[in-house]
Amino acid sequence: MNPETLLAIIGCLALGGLSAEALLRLKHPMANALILNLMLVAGSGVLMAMGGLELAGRYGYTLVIAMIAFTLIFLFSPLILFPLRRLVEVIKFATLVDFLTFRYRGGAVAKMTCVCLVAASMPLFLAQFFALRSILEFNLSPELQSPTMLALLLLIGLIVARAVRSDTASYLSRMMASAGLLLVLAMGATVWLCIDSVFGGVDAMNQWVERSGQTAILRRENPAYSIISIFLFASFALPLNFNLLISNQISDRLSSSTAYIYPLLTLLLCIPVLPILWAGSILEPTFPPQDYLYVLPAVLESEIISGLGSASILLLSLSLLVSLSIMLSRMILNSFVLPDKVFHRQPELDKWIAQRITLSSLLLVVVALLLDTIVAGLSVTDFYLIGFAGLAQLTPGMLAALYLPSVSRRGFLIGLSAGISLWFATLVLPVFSGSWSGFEAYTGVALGMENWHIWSIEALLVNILLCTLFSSFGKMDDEQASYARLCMADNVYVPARVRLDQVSVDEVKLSLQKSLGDSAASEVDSALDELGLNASERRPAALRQLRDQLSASLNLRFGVLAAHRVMQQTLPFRPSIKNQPDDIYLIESMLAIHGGRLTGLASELNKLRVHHREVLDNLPIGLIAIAQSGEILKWNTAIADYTQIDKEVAIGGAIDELAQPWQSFIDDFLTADTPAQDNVKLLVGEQTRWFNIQRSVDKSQPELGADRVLLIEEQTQSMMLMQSYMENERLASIGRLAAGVAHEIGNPLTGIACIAQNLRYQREQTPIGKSATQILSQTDRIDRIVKSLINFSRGESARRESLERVQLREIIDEAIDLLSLSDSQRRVEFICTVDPLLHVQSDAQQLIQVFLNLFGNALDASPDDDSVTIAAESLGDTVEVTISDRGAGVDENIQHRVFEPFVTSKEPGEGTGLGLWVVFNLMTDLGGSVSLTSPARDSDRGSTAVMRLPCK
Amino acid sequence: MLNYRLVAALTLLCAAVFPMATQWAMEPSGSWFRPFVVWALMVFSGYVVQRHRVWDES
Repeated sequence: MNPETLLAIIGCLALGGLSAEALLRLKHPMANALILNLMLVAGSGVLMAMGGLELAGRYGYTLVIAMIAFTLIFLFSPLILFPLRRLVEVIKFATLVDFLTFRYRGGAVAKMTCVCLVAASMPLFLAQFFALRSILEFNLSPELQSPTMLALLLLIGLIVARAVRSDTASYLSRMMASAGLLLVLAMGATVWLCIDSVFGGVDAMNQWVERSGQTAILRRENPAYSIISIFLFASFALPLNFNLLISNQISDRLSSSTAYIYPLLTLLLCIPVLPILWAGSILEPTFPPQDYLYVLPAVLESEIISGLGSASILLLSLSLLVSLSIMLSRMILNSFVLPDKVFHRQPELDKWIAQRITLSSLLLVVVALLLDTIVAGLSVTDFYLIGFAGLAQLTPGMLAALYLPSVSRRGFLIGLSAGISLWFATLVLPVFSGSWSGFEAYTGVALGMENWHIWSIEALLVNILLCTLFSSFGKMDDEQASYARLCMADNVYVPARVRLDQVSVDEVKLSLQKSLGDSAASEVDSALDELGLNASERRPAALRQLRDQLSASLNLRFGVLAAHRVMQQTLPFRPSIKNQPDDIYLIESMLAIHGGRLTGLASELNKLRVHHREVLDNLPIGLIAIAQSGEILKWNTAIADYTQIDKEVAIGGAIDELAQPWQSFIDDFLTADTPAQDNVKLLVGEQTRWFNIQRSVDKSQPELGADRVLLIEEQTQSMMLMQSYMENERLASIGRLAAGVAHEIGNPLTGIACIAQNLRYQREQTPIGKSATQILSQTDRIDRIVKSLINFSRGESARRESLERVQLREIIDEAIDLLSLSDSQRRVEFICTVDPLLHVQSDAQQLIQVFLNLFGNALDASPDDDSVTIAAESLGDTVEVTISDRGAGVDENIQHRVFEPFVTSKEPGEGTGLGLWVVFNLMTDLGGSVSLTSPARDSDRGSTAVMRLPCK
Repeated sequence: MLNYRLVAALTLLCAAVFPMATQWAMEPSGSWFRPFVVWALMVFSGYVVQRHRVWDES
């Protein structure tokens, strides 16, 4: 044992750990990308550190092409990894087995895939133990090797227990990143040492390569096709690659860095392989090429670089043993144990699962160690070639999951069984039993590694062929077909618009409790947090989202099979005899997020969708689309304005959950068997409003039943205008009646006046004469009233007459007289201080109407026993008339709008809001103006109407 | 969503470039590191494709 080398190994391990920790603490995007890619390098274990050297020695340039193929999956990540990641965003998968189980459905798929993965991974375990043994044999004396191996086993146990208990990803990431980092450093340092010490520089090495004909050796014929194919397929199914890249802790941007950083790192690790190999061929150590990374530096008496190589291999082996055993254990648990586990009866469920994972991980490692003692005569490369040939069997099923929806469960299972059986019989069994001479004599081809290039490809071809055959001639059930479509690379996951039995979050918690026990509440709470929903949520669409989130979360905890069982038992969808339509709301939100990815025709269609949606949103009438289940699918801006209910709140909810009076309004209409209802009166708050409502039925998808579209239009303004018109019509007919009555009264009145005049003339100076005088006075008064009524009723025709000089005081008095005829019993005094000599250029009838309206308003506003003051002042060309009351005044908010139609400060039903509008129009016709100030002039209350009339 | 234009472009590129690149890399008179140059170009193309990618998260 060389103490310097041992010290270098320990120092390098510490250095690697510290460097990885420092990189992790940087939290810089580039540092994170580097860590992820170093982990991927470590994920293939000692493939590069030992297997690469031997592969190059055996197959020359085929190593380069094989490693390019191994990284091709990352280079083509937009075609393979990103579709997978998009699916994983919605349906979480803990492992590769879960993904295949989700796609092909059923416990048989889970169990078969799990068995295949464990079997195919076992040679990788053996390769790591082989590497560990080589390191121990090189660095330690024979008596120390077994105790050290035992210590390493204990160390693996401790790391597994710690990694399972704590956050596996963050704990293992340090270990794997430092292993990858040490490997890069070791390869770099070794190649530098070899070129410098053995060749004396790069130029000298190049000359030696040409002289010795190495390029021809590198280009020799070999089974390149098999190696490239198997490396390409195996990289896809390598559990560590799959888990790292689909991890939801890694962002899309970070995962995309693997498209160039991982191939770059692999390239940088491959370049030194050939110079190291050539240095080895010159130095001719007694060790095989796979040990050159630590042997050559030792031969060249560089203990530190030799220690660095040993440390990197040690850490790579331990990393792969720990991480792979944990992943396989989780797969075993998810496929064999948890699907039938009754969770709510198990106290401390997570701890129980962690213990089972730890135990099975250790069991796997021990089994691998036992196999390692049995197997002899194979190199690290052989183990990798066997393992990769096994892993490659899973890839056809994985690729078919993304690109071939017609591949069925039967095809997948039969193909995989046949492929893996052939692999086991031709490549694995001969490792233990040797090649069967009978078989070799019969076929002329030996079993085992000797013909690896034949058996690996044949197993893969048999797998693909049987999978294709049985998928082509079999028929898939509906469940399989729907999941096959769901996993397609160009598919967007959209759950069906089906309803749950549960109508609230509390009910979801209660149901889930039946399966998960006390942990149900925390599971639901974290799902709500993730979705940004609150616990009072009742909308069916939101509850569906919650169910999906819970399902995804349980997929991660227990695997697809167990999660599916729990969801079916506790939160099943309502059974339906019809095909359920897609969740339109979710399609909308997903297209809003992913619309930028669309290209070509899909992009144009998306633009059309956005245009149509905007048209519907901006319609000036309210639009509601309702599913047959009562769920609201569309709620446009106009209906949101009418109801003051935001579309975010309404969409996805049920009509039954809308606020009143809207819920009754829509519900009553939907239950009524009429296509439309006009002028439905609603009391919204304290305001009365009218709406027209009509429906249309979506006949585009008759097989889905009838979704309904409601159109709602507010009619309040039209209704108020119509009521005002009807009131005006009523008043006009009363006016016409009054005019007729006045005319009829006029004739007898003339008679009475004549008789009274005769009587007064005959009985002058007698009491009868005095009575006749009084009768004449009263008939005069009646005559004036009748003439006023006739004049007022002629208003419409008078408006068209030319303006004339009228006495203002006379007009005002007549208006006051007319107002006193109204049935109002108000005790309000009109005080008129207008000079009788003031004249204006106006139309008497229109002016009377103006004063009537203004006096009426002043009368309504004034309290009893109060007075209204009317004053006038000549301002040269105009006369200013002011009418002031001491009432409540006009609200400041509507002062500037009082002359608009339908604006009133009176209580609902007391005023139409048209009086001042009429005044304004008449004053404009008369060439004058009118304004209103509140409070009144020279007062702190009431209001003053100011009119300006032309006097010349 | 699968980008079919990208798939078509990659397929065409592979079909056109792969035989040429292999022939150049394996020329008997060529340097031993030529295959690595081809590989480096592939890595660079991967970098260029990813650099122009638009991310939903940004």
